Amino acid sequence: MKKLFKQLALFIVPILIFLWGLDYLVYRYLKNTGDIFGNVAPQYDLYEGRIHEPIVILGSSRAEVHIDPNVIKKGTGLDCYNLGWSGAESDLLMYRFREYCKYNPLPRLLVINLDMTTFSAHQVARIIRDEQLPFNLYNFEAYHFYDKNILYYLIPGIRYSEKRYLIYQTLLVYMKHQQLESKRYHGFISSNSPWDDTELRKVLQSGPNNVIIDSSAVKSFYNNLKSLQEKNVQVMLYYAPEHKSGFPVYKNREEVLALYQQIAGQLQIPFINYAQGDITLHEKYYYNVNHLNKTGADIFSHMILTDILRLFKDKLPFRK
Amino acid sequence: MLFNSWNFFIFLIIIYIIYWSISNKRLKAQNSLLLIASYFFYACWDWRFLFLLVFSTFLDYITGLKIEQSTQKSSKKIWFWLSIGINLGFLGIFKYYNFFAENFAQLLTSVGLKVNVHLLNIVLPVGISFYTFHGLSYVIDIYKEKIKAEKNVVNYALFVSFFPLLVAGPIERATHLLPQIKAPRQFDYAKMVDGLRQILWGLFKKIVIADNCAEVANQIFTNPGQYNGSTLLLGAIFFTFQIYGDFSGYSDIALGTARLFGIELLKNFNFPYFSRDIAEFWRRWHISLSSWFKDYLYIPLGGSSGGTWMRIRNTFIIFLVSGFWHGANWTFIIWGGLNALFIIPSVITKSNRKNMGIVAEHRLFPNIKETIQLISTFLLTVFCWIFFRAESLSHAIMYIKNMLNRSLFSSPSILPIPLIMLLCIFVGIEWLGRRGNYAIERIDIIRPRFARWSFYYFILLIVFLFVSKGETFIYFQF
Repeated sequence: MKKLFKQLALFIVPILIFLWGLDYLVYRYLKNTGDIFGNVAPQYDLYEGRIHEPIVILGSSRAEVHIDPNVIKKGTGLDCYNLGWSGAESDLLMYRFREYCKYNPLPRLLVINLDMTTFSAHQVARIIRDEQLPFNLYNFEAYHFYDKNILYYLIPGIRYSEKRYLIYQTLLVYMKHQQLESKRYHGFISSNSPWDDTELRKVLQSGPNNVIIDSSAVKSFYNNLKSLQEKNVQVMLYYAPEHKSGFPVYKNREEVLALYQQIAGQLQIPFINYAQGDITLHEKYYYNVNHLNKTGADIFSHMILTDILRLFKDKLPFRK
Repeated sequence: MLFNSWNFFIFLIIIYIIYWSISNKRLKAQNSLLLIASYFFYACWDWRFLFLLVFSTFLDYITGLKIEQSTQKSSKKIWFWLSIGINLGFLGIFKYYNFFAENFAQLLTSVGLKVNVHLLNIVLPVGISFYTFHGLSYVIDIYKEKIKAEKNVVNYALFVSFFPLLVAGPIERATHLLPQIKAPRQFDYAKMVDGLRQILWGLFKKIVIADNCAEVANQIFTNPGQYNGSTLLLGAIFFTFQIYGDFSGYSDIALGTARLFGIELLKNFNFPYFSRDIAEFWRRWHISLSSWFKDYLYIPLGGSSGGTWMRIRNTFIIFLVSGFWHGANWTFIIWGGLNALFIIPSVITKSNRKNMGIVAEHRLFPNIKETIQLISTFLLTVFCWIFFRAESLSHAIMYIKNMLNRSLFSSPSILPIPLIMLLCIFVGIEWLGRRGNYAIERIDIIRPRFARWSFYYFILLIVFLFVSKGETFIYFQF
């Protein structure tokens, strides 16, 4: 048996070297792949502690593609970073914020986007996105949110199995000494895709949904905000614009918005519902029912800028 | 716990270390450990069905002893039929009740009678067809006085439940497995390496070939109306490789795993797609099931000893029963019937045992005649697999209708080049290794070690890169 284990150990050594090498290669060069794999640049900024901006936007894709930090910076004189991440809801939203706090200084103002399903008890199945993979080795907190195979967090490289395209692209930029540019500015990226309501029609066909609120998620969120206030971080909550055709998707829409209003009221922080008025009426501002296009994002960024200036003029050192 | 999961990998390492740490002289402890591990393995699927497995085991253990102890023929018969009845009863309830109830209701409706049948909302216990057949063969063999009843309950339970074969075979025989369970097992380095090698090849077949073919085959079979004939043919070919990779991959892992514990299981596959006729295909495909039906159904029915009509009748019976064994659906019955139909000409002309050896045994390539035979046999099996894969008969007929038209000669709308290249590599390796028990068995003779290991690393790299979503094994549903 000793001989077998000795031979197996010998056999495994090159495999481990390969896996370590692969892990290093992807970590080192994925950042050079631009936007091919989505939210890569903000992930590196977050985990490498480069987010020092006093204003930070947190939320799902409805934050990521909606608020242009450049507009906020021009208007307030303060740097802004958009940490919006597709699918980041409830505990994942807070997890992302904790990761941000672990590696970066706290912001002066945290603007949090809330969606209808932010506290839904039925979270959509989470797919581990490629941009998160380099940061999952020994990151056991990530285990709760992503792949439930503990070995992926313990053994280098194996979480890249099946990621042929990612390995290929990383190898390519490494071999060609490339540095593909990201089109994102401080996490923000806008889209000029044409209006598409295919998904909405499918959802409406199957009838309206009811958001079942996970009270423990609400409580945890509330406690997190409270501790932020204790650390002198200003917080603002908002509900992003959406096209009015999407209003009937959730039966208890008003109830959910009232809950957000109630949380804000209890903490004495502002909550603004932007899904009303002129911006909800025109398809020309959207590429789908939940997401603004470039034009819409520009209008909305100015709307939220106005409110930030109004609400925090006495609390933050805006440029006069 | 799937064979292709990390959980199984960890489970196997733990059991393996404990098993060989126990002294070889303590056979009882080794067998007890394997039995506990097997029950744990099964409980990981659904612990509730463990009771059924234990009950079935005890039933056959006790009836086996009672048959042997009975001095009167009548009491022997009673015990024998009690075991057969209960075993088939369980199989009938869990697997076939709804099928018969639905078809009975449809039959009555067609003659104008309205009936409301009560359908059972139950899940099929994993592996029930396999462990029931283990038990049946054991009891039949005792009844026919071919073997003695096993006195040691642990040995018998391990024969039924040994985890590598528990959920999808191979279907073992007491004459083959029980003596191995009862004999002390020695640690043999060469056997261990061989076991690991066969596991590696099984994983490659399952993870790389079957799971990747499944993605394309599922896409095409889900909406056959959307694709042209050539794409549908390609879909059927992908399924042909999927089911082979899936089931023979499972069998390779099972055989390799058992070998790690010093136990040799029955060979289940022998390069079936390198067959020159359908009869040869069935001597190479799911061998343990084919031989089970041959020994316990075909031969008792008279086998090939009678006249032509009797041989035809017996052939049809075993193929239809074999189809029905796979599942309670007309598609499986038609699949079995088609195979019988394709085999009948050779049964009539008594040429069904013509191709007994390995194709092109002493040559690198087959000759023209062999090539034509190989391709035509392969295409016949591809055609049969359409019924096996289809959800229903109408689905299969629609698939074939859409496939067999002019568009069969147009270019396919789905052409996954990397997968086709992988299949070419796979077929090449299988062809070169067809003289062995499994394709890469003879890699062992390659010297130096560096070259041999490089091949293993290459296989591992492909597994790493092409690991798919981890589909379950097809034969688990049977």
